[in-house]
Amino acid sequence: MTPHVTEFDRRRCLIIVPAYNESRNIARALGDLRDRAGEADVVVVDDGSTDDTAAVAEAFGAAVLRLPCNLGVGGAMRTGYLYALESGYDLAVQFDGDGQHRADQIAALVSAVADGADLAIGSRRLGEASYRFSLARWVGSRLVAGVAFLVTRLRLTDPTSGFRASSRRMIAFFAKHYPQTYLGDTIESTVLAARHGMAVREVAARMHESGTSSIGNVKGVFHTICICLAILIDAIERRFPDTAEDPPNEEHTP
Amino acid sequence: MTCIIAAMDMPWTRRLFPLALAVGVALVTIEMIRRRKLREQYAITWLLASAVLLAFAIFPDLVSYVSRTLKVNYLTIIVLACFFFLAMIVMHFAMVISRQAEQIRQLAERLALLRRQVEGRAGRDKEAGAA
Repeated sequence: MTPHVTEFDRRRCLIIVPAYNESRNIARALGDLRDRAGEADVVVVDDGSTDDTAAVAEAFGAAVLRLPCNLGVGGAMRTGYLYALESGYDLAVQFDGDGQHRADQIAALVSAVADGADLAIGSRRLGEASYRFSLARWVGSRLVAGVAFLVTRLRLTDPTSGFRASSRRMIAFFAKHYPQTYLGDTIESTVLAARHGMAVREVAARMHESGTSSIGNVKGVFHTICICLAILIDAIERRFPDTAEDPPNEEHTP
Repeated sequence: MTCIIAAMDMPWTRRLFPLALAVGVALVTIEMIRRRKLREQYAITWLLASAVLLAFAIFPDLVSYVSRTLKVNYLTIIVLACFFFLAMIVMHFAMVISRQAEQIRQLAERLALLRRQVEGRAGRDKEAGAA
C-alpha cells in the first residue's frame, strides 16, 4: 500500500459523481472507482436523467441522489457537496460520470489536500501527464486561464478540469456557493474559492482521452467567451461574508 | 397666446387618450387581482402607472410643461418615460426570476437529499421485516 492510500483511512472521503444520462459510461467510472479507490464512499448525483443512470449506479452500491429536474453540472455538484457536508465527510473528490477521470489518480489529489490545500485540481497539462489539446481547445483554455489570472493571480494550466478534491472548509463553502453556469462551473468555482481565501493548488493528473466533447468549434468559441465574461462578472460580485469557519450545519439537520 | 389656442383647439382628444389608457390599465389590474392571477406586490407598479396616466389626463399641459423646462422634444419625453417604465419592470422581473431560480435550486437539492433518506429508511425497514 502506498502512503497516499492511508489518507483514505484516516479521513472520511466522499467521491461525488455528477451524471446526466450517463447509463452507458457510468458503469465504467463506478467500476474503476470500486477497483482503485474502494476505501472511499461514492455518491452519484443523478441530474434529472431520463435514462436508467440511477438504477445502474444503485446496482453498483453507490448512494444515489436524484434531482427532480436538470440543474446542470453546477447544480448537481452543489447537491453533492451539501450531502458531503451534512454527512460529515472530511474530503470530497469530484469525479465525472462519463469515464474521463481515472480513479488511480485520486490519491495524488487527496494527498495535496492532506498537505493543506483547500482545493486540489487535477491538471492534464502538468508534469509527465501532459495531455495534448487540439489547437482550438488550447487557445480557449489559455484565454480562460488568462482571465482567471487577472481576477485571482492564480496560474492555472488546466482551468476547466473537473477532477478536483476539496477540504472540509471547501466543502462547507461549495455546499452553499457552487455556481450553476453551464460548462463554466469548474473555473467559476475555482475563482470563487480563490477570492474567498481558499488555498488552490494544481496537481498533475492523467486522464483518459475524452474525445466526447460534444460541442463544435463555433459553439466552443461562444462558450469560451461566455465563461470569460462570467468570470469578470464574478469578479465584481461582493464576497460572501460567511466564509471564516464552517459551523456544524444545524439548520438542515433532519 | 399660441399655447392657449392649442389647448382650446383639441382639449378632449388630448385628455381622452391618457384617460382611456389609465382607466383600461386600472381595470385590467383590478380584475386580475380579483381573479387571484396577480399578486399585490406586482399590481402596485401597474396601479402607479395608471395614476401617472390619470395625471396626464387631468393636466394635459404637464408633458408640454416638462418638455419646455427641460428643452426636450415633447415626443422624446413620452418615449423616454415609456422606456424607463418598461426597463424598470423588466429589471424587477429579472431580479425576481434570479431569486426564484435559486429557491427552486435549493428545493430540488433538498428533495434529492430527503428522497435518499426516506428510501434508505424504507430499505432498512424492509430488511428488518424480512429478518
